[in-house]
Amino acid sequence: MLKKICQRFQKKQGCVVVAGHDLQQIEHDFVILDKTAQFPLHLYQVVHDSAVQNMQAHSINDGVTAIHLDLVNVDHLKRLVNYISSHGHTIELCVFQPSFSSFPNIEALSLEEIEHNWQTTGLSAVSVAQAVIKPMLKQQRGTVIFLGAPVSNSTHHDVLSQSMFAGIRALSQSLAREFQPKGIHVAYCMVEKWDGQNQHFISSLKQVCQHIYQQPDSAWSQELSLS
Amino acid sequence: MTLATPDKTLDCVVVIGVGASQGIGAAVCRLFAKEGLKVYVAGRTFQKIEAVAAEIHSKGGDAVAFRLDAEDVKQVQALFDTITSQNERITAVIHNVGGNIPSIFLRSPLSFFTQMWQSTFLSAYLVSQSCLKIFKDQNHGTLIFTGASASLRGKPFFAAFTMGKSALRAYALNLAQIYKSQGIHIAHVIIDGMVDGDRVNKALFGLGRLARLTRGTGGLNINAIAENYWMLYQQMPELWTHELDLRPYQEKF
Repeated sequence: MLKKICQRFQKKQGCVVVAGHDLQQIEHDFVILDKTAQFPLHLYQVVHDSAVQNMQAHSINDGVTAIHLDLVNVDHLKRLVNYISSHGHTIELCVFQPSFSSFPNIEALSLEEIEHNWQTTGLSAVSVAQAVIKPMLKQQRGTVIFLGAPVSNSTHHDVLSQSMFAGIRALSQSLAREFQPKGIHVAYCMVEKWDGQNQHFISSLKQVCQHIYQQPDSAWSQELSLS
Repeated sequence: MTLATPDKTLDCVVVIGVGASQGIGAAVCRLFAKEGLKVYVAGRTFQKIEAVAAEIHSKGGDAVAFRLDAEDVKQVQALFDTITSQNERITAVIHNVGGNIPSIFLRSPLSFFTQMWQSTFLSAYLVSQSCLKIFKDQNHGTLIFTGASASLRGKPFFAAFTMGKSALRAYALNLAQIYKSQGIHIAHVIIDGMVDGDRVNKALFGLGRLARLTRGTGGLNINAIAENYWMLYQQMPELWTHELDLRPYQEKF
């Protein structure tokens, strides 16, 4: 009881939630500094795993916590938010990384594969956004960055995947228009090709996320591309 | 149901997503029938599609009502199998599925987003995958998708609808580039405003009509929309339109 009361009045530390599918490298290279650029924000590396029954968390080091959960399971996301709060953290920034898998022949896809594609892109984006925006509204600040790909004529993505990214882009626009007046910065960041195993790629992406997070509210970006 | 004579191939159009008599789908059916094509009137509610087909028959046209859930891959395939087995040539397919339902983002269950994605995007994907096989064999065909303002702009309270419609737009424009060299014309029509049809006029116990009338021009006329679909169908391969936006002259955009 005493512990809970102490937690309630304890000053909370900001954190970054990076949620997605291919995030192995980020635990080393995704150090985001707070808005004063003095202190690193705690990193929650949230990796989608449709097989886990319950959310699994383990601390990698003082600054990084790895989480495994099902991104389209609302209960898992609620537990994540409670876990973050109970560890004295407030979500300052959330970066969502959809699945970047591509299918060479979309005509051969089964209905199950198409629906799975929707779940690992658009539906996960909705699920993560609903989970993180609620606490951000309470604190009247926060940044949500949706990663995606260019929506047409991409050489790296099939027609179906490009459509899914177009859906995430539209979601980002809709949420930006709804929540920016309430202090939540929502942006869509297009990357030509996801290269999650490349340290330089992750480091460059981190720089962009850091920049968007630190943008003053008089000049927020809603959309940008990297290639 | 009118069957084609065995020695003659009959040209027909398939309109999927026909609902109320005063709606885009029905208006497209009536116009294509008036121009002499046999029309397959496909939709979920049998009474509604029967009424549209009966109206076409009463004016001397040829129409078949086909009950269909466009989100069901088997039913979609069955529709096209039925037509091709009757020695009929499908020259156009119109996809007009997916209604606009506003919702509060933070209070909408994930199932709502999936349901909207299935009606706006998945149905279009299933229809296109079935009809493009036929069009490729024919080296000919027109496939038109109905879009909305949400295809271009994500607005608050319409996150689910805009996700599906934007995905559909990207899909349609990409398909257009892939299939144009095979004689297949694919177009995406953006209905950028309120439609003067039953869906709007009967919404909220008739308040939808009042909302539409506050727009000055009274919204988009369904017959005027249908004329544009017919124009797209008639275009020559030398100069095809792949995206067409439609709005009343006073609509803000």
